[in-house]
Amino acid sequence: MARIEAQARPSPSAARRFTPRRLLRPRGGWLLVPNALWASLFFLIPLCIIVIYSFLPIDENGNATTGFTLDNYVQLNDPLYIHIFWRSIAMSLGSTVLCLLLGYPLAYFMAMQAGRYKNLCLLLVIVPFWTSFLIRTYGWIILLSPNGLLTGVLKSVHAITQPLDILYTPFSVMLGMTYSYLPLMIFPLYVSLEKVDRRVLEAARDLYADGWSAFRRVTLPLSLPGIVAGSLLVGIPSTGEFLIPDLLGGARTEMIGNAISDQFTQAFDWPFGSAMSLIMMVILLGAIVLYLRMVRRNPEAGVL
Amino acid sequence: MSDDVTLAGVSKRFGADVVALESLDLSIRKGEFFSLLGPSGCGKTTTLRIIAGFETPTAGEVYVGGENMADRPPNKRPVNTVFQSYALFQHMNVYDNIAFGLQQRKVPKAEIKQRVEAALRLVRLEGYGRRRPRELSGGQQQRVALARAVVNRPTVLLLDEPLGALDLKLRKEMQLELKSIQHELGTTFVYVTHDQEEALTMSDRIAVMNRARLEQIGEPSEIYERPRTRFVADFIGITNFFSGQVQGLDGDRVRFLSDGGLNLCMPRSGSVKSGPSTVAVRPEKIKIAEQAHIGAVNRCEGVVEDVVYLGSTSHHRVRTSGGETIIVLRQNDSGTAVFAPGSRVSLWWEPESTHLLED
Repeated sequence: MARIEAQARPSPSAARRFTPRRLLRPRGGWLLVPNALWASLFFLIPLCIIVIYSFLPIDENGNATTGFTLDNYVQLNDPLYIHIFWRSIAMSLGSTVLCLLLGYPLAYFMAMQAGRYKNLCLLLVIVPFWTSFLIRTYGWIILLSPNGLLTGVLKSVHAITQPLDILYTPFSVMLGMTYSYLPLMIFPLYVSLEKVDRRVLEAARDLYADGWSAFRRVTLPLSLPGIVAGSLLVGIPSTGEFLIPDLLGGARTEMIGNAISDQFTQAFDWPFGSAMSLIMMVILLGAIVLYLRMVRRNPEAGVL
Repeated sequence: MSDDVTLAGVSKRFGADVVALESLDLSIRKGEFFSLLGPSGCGKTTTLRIIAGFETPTAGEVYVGGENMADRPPNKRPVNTVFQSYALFQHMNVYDNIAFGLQQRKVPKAEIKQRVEAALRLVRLEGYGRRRPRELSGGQQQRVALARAVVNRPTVLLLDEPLGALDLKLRKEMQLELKSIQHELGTTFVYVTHDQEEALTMSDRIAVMNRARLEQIGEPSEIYERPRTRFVADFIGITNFFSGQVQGLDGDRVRFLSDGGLNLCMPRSGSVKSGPSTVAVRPEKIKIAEQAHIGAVNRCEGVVEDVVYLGSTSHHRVRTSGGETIIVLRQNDSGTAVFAPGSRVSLWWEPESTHLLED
């Protein structure tokens, strides 16, 4: 018995540990070079510039000058900006949950039931991407505007008498973000559900679980990696989204992305915009860490 | 003895032309170690899945513990399965894997704990409850799968090639262990395997299947000693086949003339058709010597073509004067002469070791 055990459990840390020395070994390490170059050129260096900018003071003309100041961060402690931060987080959470609620049943259907129509379904999920993002978002304006398609249809069936006032509200922004990011939720969910071994589900059924219990105790926990990946893929970019709130939110629904964009393109206060960007990154990072911790603490989520 | 599992005229078709099972009738007795043996694609796993409820038969009835299983989903059947690939819940530890069935049936927590621990003891995995399945060896995972099934005390335990993924030595150990566990629990085991040796050593009875049909059903010795069809004789062990003609009946004996000119005699079993037939003789039933035993009925002369030494036994390939090749299995006991290739020998065997096949 002892002998078998020793063979069966190679230390997992030994296999996965990446030490600098391992990376520099002739084999393998060079594979990282293209990405490392790309990332340092277009991400790391710009990020450093932003960090530096966020500590620069501005002169009387509003231009960044040399020096060091924390004013840009202090300035953020304003109810107006705090409100925008909270709204961004809430709307991003809302669209992530909506994407999950809409995407999970679809991904489940594609992975478990679609059979030979799987690839067709996958194709249909991607089809909207063939049209420009901008055009698709403009499409929502036509759908949701007071004299738009939705109001027209609802009026004609006498469901409403007054035109719908949903365009340029947080709701329309959330709709737009859910619509745009839905495929990013569906794909990781589909992949993780596809990987669920049918025999394991049969085992659950064999062990007296009805369809719902088998889903709750086996399928759902096994698809957790997909839920995590999908939620991050939707949640992160939607927090910083600025085009959709710009088009569908109007002036009433400014998100942090719009505030940052305004600082760079209209107020030309780059240091303040940089500070805002960095704070958003820190908040997102904190949220991700919190989320991953929460998921890991779930006892049946050992797959992570 | 009452029957625990009864299949009556069970057929299964996939689509229009794939026949997985053709009108299968089977009765498995209470407490029996029953094996379904056959090559891959013979329908043995389909049979098991029909009993478990994962497949719906196209025709026929399934009874478990006297109750008709029609329209009963797998979770409402008094059977549990040990899956071929174990199908353990990788996201749960060993304890929760084994407790799963009991939790689903709302067994009180204290009883679950006690029964899971007893099951872990039964499969000799005490203290492994907190481990994850992937941290265990193949043999240990196999035991968890077994414990997860037997902890529910099913009427019938279904095992789908449970030892298939283990190496030979471990497989032998697990065969003995499974057998002793079955003895201890007294549960009916229905065991699917393609390994004839495994089926012979473990089973109380074996059903040999081929091409969606049942070929023969019986105790291991019966299947081995008295194969009824060419398939059974060929699939289990090594066999010498003689094609030829049934000449007629001689009292309760059948006279047979092989194509190579051998006159063979065998006991009659069942109806006998005259005309072309096949006769089977096991290699270890054939005696080999320089001179035939006087009075031997089934005998022939030949030349040793080659000898394969296998440790405790040797295979002699003998070519008869009529041009037939006969394999003889001989114990390598001390003091017996060794026949070198080229030496002339006599072969003979008992009529009772000679079997007229049905096909």
